[in-house]
Amino acid sequence: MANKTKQWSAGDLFIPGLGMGLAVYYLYTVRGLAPLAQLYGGGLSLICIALFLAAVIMVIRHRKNDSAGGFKKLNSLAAVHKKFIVMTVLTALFIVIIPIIGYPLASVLFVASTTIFLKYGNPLRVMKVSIIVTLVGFVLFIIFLNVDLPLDAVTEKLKGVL
Amino acid sequence: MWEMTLASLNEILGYWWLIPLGVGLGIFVGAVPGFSSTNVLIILLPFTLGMESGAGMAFMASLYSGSHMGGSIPAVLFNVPGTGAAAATCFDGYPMTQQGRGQEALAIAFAASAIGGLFTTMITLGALPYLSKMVYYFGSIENFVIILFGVALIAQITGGSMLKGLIAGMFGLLLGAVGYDHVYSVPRATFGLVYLFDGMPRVPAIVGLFAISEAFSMVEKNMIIDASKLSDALKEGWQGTKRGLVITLKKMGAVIRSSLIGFVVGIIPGAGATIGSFVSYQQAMSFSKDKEQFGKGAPEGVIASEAANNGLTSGSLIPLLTLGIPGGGTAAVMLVVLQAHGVPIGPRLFQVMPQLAYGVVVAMLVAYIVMIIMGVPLAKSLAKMSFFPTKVLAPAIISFTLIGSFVARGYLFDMWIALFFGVLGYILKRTGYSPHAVLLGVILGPLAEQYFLRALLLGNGNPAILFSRPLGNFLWVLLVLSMVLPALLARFRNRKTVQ
Repeated sequence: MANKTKQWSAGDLFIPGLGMGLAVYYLYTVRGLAPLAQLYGGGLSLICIALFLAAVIMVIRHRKNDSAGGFKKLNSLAAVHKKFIVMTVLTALFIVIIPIIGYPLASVLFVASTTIFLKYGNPLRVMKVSIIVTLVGFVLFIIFLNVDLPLDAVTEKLKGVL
Repeated sequence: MWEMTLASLNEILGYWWLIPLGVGLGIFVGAVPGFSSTNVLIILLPFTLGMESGAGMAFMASLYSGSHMGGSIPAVLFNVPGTGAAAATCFDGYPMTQQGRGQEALAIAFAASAIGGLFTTMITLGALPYLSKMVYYFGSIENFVIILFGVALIAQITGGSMLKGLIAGMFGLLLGAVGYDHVYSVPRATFGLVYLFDGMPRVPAIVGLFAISEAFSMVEKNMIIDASKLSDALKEGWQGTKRGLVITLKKMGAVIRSSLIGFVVGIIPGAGATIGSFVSYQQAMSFSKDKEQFGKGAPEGVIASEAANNGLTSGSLIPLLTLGIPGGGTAAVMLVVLQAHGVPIGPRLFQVMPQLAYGVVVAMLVAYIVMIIMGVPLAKSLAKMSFFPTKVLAPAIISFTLIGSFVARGYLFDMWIALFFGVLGYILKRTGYSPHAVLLGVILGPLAEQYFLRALLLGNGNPAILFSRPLGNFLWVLLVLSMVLPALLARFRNRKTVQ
């Protein structure tokens, strides 16, 4: 375990790299402000940059020798994490279509497409699950908790009646 | 005081049915991600305004208490904190579910919530007028140090590598520093997006880092529970609940300590339940002999978080009842109801309508007893939800939690933020960084900055102001001790064992 924690790969630089990117952008946006306005975030940004450099040193000194190490780790994400990538894309599409076709229809499409992708079962089972999940969401959030989500014309009328 | 308590109890018996109703509704609402007791109390304002002031306050206090317990249900079962205060419950509650100990974890969460809440409500009842003075001692400096207790967790939940823990924590703190600065109101690192001007929204961050990232991870297996533990979990009767209750009773010291931490944090206006549960978790972890078990399914972790966030509820009513200062959103809605009924707010409340002030606390006391009766038997049935196949759970969790992230501010943009944090959480886990540390930074960072800058302004920019107040210095000493003492004690114990 101790040995494992000492191993670093180039893929491990993704998060510190993201932190450093944000830190540089942060410093750019607070330039020229009063010292007190720069103090907290500016200090954090400098720490993030220093930690990125420390991570780079760790990668150079303790680089893994296994095949999954190095940039291969990130490159192989598409193959190894296919489900994650498809789920992310489907979720993004779900968010995109909510304001266009309304939450209920978007939810049915989202749940149906994800369960088909995850090979949940035959189309009838998929339809059943999609409708049940959407119905629970509709009743709970829109009817009971009065959440103002975009709706299509039919459900808008239904909400008004209920 | 006892006469007043009995008189209040007698009055509450007249509308006793409101308490289980409030608790039940609170548990339900607390379990819905993104919703808080405040949201629902606002929706129910016409209902509570129509009641007598005492009945309305009793209903709201019961709902408030129940909501904190409800927040633990999805946190334990699906790694989805129903409320921000339950975020720390996920740390150990969800690993327990993955080990097939979901029922036990829920029983611990419910029992610790109810006992912790009951204990601090009794303290409140006994010392209500005296406790009000505590509010005056907590300024920006003291609040800043208290938040640092929570931030100190970053260094402790490193997930095996101190450097990775610090990177994740600092990244979270920097994400939390996005938005208007607290002194000059200048937008910082907002990418030109007006939605980020108010800072990084907390609910989408929590939903993304915990729920959505977990939904992305859970589709890689068929069930949440490890395959090797599944058959035992399926066969389990009431044993898990019994085990959970026994563990909670055995660790009564931890329940009381955590609820007291929550209580003190609750008295401070604006501090909030999330800080209370994180501070309590940090303390529990610091002084535990099994530090390595934290984050992997330690019952003490669930106790620390749940006892604290319920211990906090009665404490948070103290500034409202004694000074008329609402310490948080729920207290602010209560204030509206009190004002609508023409009830005198602040110290005059105890002179003019003492039975109302005590009535709220007595209602809360009864609510916690109701919670034990209602909640604990539910653990067995609720735990069964973790047996659903992940192929159905994952899309349902994503669909519901995206709505939860939308609710807080009503921007569809917040769903994108939740997705961003979901992807980030997944990558963090896969590359060995702690999503918990990032979350701590996002939640506590803005508060730490706010109090830090306020304190500096008071001292005209001189940092020496941070060490200028006796209570602040006392808290600094406690903070340093909580960081250093456990390590020294461990070294001392090791040396003794070697000898």
